[in-house]
Amino acid sequence: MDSGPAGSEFMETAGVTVRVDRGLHVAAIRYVDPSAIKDVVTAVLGVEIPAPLRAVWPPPAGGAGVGECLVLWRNPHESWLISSDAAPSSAIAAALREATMACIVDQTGGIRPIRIRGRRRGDLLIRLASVASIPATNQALAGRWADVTAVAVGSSDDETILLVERVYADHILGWIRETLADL
Amino acid sequence: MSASRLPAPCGTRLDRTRSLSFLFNGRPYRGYAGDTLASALLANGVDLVGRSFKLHRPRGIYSCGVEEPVGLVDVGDGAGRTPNLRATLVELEEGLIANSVNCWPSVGFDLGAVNNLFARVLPAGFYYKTFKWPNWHWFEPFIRRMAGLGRASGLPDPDRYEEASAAVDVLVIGGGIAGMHAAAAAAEAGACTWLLSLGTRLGGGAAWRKDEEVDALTRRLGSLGVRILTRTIAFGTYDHGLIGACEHLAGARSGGALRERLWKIRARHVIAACGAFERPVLFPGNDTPGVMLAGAVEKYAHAFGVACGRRAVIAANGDGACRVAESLRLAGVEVVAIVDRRPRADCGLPPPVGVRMLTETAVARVLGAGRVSGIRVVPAGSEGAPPEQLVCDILLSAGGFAPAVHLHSQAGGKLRWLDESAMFVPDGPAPGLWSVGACAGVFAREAAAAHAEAVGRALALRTCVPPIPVGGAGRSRLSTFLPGLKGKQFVDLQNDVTASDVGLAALENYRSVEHLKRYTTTGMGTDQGKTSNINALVLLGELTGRDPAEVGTTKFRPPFTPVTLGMLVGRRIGRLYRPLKRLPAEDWHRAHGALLEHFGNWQRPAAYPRAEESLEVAAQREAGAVRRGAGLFDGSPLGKLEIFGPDAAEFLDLMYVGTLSNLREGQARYGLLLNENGILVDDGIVARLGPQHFWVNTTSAGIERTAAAFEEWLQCEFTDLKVLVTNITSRWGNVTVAGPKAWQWLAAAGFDAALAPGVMSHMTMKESRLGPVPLRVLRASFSGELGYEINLPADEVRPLLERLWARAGDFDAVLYGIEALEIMRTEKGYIHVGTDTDGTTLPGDVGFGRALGKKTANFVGRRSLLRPAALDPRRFQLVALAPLDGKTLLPVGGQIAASPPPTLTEGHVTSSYWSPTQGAPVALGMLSRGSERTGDRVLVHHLGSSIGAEVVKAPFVDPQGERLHG
Repeated sequence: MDSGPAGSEFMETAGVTVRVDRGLHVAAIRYVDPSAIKDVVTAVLGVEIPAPLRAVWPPPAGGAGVGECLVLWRNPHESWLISSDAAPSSAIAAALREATMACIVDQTGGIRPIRIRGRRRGDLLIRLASVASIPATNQALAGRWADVTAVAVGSSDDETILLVERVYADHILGWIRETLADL
Repeated sequence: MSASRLPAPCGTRLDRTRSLSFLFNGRPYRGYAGDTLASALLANGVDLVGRSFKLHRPRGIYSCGVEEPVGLVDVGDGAGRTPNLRATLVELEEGLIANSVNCWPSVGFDLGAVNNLFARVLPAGFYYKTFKWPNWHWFEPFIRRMAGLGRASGLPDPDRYEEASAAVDVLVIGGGIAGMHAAAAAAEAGACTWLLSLGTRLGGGAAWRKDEEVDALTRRLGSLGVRILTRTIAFGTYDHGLIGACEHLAGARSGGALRERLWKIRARHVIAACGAFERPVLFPGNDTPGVMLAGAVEKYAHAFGVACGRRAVIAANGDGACRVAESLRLAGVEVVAIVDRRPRADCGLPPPVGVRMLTETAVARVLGAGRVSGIRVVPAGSEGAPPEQLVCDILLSAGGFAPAVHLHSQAGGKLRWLDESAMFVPDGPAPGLWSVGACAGVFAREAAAAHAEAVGRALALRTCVPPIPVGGAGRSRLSTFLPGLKGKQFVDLQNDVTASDVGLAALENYRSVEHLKRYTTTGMGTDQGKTSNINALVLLGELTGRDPAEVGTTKFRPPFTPVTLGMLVGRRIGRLYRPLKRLPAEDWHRAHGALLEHFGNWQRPAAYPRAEESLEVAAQREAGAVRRGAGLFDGSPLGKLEIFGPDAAEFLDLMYVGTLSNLREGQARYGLLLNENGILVDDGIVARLGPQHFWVNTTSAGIERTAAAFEEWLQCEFTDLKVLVTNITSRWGNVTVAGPKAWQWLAAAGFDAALAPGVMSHMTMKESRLGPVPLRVLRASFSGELGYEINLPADEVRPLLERLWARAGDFDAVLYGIEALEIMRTEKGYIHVGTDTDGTTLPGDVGFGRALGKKTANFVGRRSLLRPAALDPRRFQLVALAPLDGKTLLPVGGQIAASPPPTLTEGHVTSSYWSPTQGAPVALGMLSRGSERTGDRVLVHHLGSSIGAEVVKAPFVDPQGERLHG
């Protein structure tokens, strides 16, 4: 899942790279009850709504032939769908058109994905947040990052994705920039 | 100047091949790599290092560590100067600059020393009894100048600081023998273990003795993967196993480097191995330079190769004196005598060969002005006995030990008094924190090591933790004070608290040790009484007939040692001072001359001043231009929520004062949000997008609290409602176009004709597109003009601004900021929640009484509106105000009353602007019985002036609301 360098902001220091991936699509899948959405998500993405604090990766070309994406748990009534294109969320939106107990809300542009990779990723992360907020691989945790609430996803053993409200992205990136300079 | 360097093997911490130069009080000196500033000063024979706080008495280095009460210095120069550092902890660097504190013009000739002449009239608490007549403020500037010790530079700190977090199984605080054993055992048992050490190397008190066990333990810790942070001090224990620690990364002359790191460490188990402080003995003149703690003199000799004197006498009250005497003798320092207050039978080891042992003897006087040159001793308890004079150039104080129980106590642990050794020790573990070694009262090395190993292992394996084998400190005499001797006996060297000050407090019936501390200042200041607390409480106990256990200790609070504000602030300076919300097109606004200011945590344009224009002038111009032509406003901060679900309409009826469930698709309505007390907390516009789908605008500053309130009511009270609330403020930007030419402008920019005023009516919302960009366009207005609030994806805000601005010239359009909007909404009499309202405002107070009467359904806050206070006709109600002279701006906050204050207020002015449309001031205010008082004349009082005003009918502009429709 990588939208490529277009529209990205990039920082690098020995052992860590940080990139704002403006190309990623973010949508909030909202449901009164998980059962209201379970069949739709399974049919479209080929996975179930993730368990609390977890993230799941639908298989490439999942159930409905959608592109690469990630689904993460946010709260008992919400999961986020992060994808490299709009197809997965469009497919779910279409499936939910007549639904009354669930909906999908586009948050693309409102949430800035910041991808942090590299050997010294952990050294950067502990300078941004409490270790309790740093997710293991396949975990999705909300926490306080550089004094701002953000969601962190352990997307792989080598990458953490920070999902930050756009309005605060400059603040977190400024903090990261200064921290990297001292790392 | 009798100090000198001792040859190897003394000086185990030194690298004698690296000579370093430094300046102290402007004079050049030299030291070695490995020296502290204190050891280098002592080696150079600098006796006078600083002045005491109150009496400005001369003081020299007293200790060798974190407990130093008097060796305080300002280090560095210019912006990098750091005040009040303990010379005992400042590592010597090439070119280091240090200066004494609390003295002027110099430490040798200090005018403040005149205080010492008046010491008799400056006893404990004198300031509580003086400076009252004729007026405290006469004295205040002088006292403020006297307050404090060192001086901050007053310039921005050039250094950088950061914070980091960690989570461990076992955190060991203290890198001495006990701490090393505990950490090794915990790590061997499989626990993720960290070890914090204040020093640059491990081993604590044993490190400078070439101890093979330290080397072996260091290797063992390394092989076990224990993370060791040196130069790191744990300064506080907090809830749930959180430890705050400061890691020193750069030296005193860091010059813009990353200087300190704040560690926030969550530990499943904390082991405190913080050691103990030496307890001094009280005797007259015990603050003379050359009087030092015995253990410190020993450490200076062995670790730093400094003989603090050549002829030493040890004033003792405990068993450690003989060991120190032998240690110093081996280092090449002559020990003349041990003067012990105790009977011979109570003294422990015999004295070393050649050292006189004077038992049941006390120091009666310290000879020498600027430096110890000898002492007079007298038999203790034999008043009038002839004194004996001993020639010495250093006097060591060995009164026993005080375990460093600070972290244990901070964590909620209890203490017990150990009478034999006259010390407080932990009474079992504190919640989450176990003490080992000297800080637990275990002074015997083997016992401490074995206990520490057992504790580390047990905590790692979660088995039973063994009890503390307290002991090994030897005996120490409880009493420290010998009455009848002349001269000041200082209990607290930093704050000039003497034994007679404690006596005065006892005489005045101060019995609580906490009150003693506040009254006398003992235990305050940078050292927080690490060398004085026990003596103070023992003395208070003696004077009030209680034993120390009954007197107790003061509460130990973080920080354990002073920490820099820079470390606590970390990266939160400049742009990172606090998280500010940024507009999606902030750069575009900057490029167009925006004056950005903070509004409700957003950084947004206040106005777009042209050359030479003030903010006020720019706002007047912008507001006038909008009324004449059109204006462009970035409304992106406006709060936005999507409400979805089969019960969404019912839920919104419950949350807002107005009825919203009868909105048709596309219709929008203004609503007031109350809390459960009926207080107006937010307002906004609700639009219906579908049968169970609503769009809610909140105020810019109110989005978080509104979203939280919605969630709280759904989760806690209206649990049966099926509603989903999603905050979409960041996703959707907002560009507002207002003014009589607004639609012409939009039409020219390519907007759908279905949005024209003739097609789309006021207070409706339509989904539309501009090319591929989805739009949600709301016909609403906070300016009173024809207005279009165009909501669109945030990333599309800048392109739309550019697109519209390209055609602005055709419509006499301007960019306008918050200030112009405030002017226009005040002209229209529209409230701004938080500006015109406060924590007492009810909906009826702002003209929504009728809406309340019409709504029969329940809503949040309704019941509170039926309380007598809510129905009181004298309540403050929103009114419009105009100055009688037609030109004087009414001051915001000005009190409305019949006579100047102090008097019962009738109300106050909440919003006030010069109206470019009226050519006169306009204002809003809250006034008692305001709704009945149109036409009344009132007086507005502000800072001594009174302005006549009339209560007028709002709005000031366009009373029929015709301009809203274009």
